[in-house]
Amino acid sequence: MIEDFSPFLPLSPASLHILLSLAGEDRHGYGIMQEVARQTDGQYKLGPGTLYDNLQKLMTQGIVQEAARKASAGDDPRRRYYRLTTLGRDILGAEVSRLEVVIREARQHLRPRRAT
Amino acid sequence: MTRLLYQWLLWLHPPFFRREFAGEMLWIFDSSVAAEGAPALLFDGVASLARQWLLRSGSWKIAAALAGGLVQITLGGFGMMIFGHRQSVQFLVTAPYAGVWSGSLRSPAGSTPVELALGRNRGEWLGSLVVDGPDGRAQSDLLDIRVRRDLVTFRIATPAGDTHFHGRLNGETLSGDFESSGDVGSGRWELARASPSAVPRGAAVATGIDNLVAITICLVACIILAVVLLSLWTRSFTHQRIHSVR
Repeated sequence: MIEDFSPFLPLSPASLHILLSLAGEDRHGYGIMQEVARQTDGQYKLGPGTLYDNLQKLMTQGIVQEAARKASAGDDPRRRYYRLTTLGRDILGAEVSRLEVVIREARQHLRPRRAT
Repeated sequence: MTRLLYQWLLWLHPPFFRREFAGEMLWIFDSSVAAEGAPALLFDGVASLARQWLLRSGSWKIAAALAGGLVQITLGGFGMMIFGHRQSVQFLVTAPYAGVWSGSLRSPAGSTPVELALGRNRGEWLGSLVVDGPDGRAQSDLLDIRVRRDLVTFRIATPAGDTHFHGRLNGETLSGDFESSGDVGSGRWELARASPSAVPRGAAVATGIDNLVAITICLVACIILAVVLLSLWTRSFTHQRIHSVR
């Protein structure tokens, strides 16, 4: 059965980058901010307010959930870790597929025209 | 100092958001202030504050509706206090009618000097009409006084029958028609304000009461507004629940 993720799509840039940053591993809030900055070469920076506003929405929708705390020395007790849910992973996949179509179309139309 | 300011910004967030994320946001501030710079983080905090209250929290609708209503009442009350003795503002009370008016009744039979006293007490209009006729002065209480914007109607009862008055306030003059079921007939009456302060007994404090009512309403409105905003501040109206693993 093919699930319909259209109610969730398209993702906002902030949500897309948050999901992308969580695709590899569970991260805490500051880790998500750093990962987003790394993935975009510092071109897209999330502030804490934007991050947690989006995280709140994504968690309410069941796309992201809080993960069990990673036990490590010196870990600040205020840190909370977040992970993609199965639904979140599927939605991210659907969004990436949608963007692939967009990029394919864009490349096709932006290809330099041959002189006739 | 900037940390304190950021902490204060976080405290101003809606309770639900504050409880969930304020600790983490402060931790991020502590961790990233050196790299990101305090101004950027403070700006983000202000933007987040506006976003959470204006877009995410439903409580702003309730607060805006209540505040709008209370502001109207408050402005109306202050307007009454400032312009209460002018006919331009008749929001809560119609005090411009209060006072003593003198003039004449004109009918085909001739002109008769009269003096009208009008006032309000506890919201009720009362007054008297003194007619200086050929048989001497006769005083009648005004009955069924109705005041609506710049229009006033009342009647007086005499042994000869009732006389109905319809008049209009125009600045410092009060004029209109009268019609009697008795032998007085009908005609016009024209009065000018003689004294705004010499209002009839029992109604002398009418204007004072009006102002007192206006001030009381203003104060009550301000207190209610403060209580509502305070309760919104401390309670979360959102029913969102994050399904998270603690």
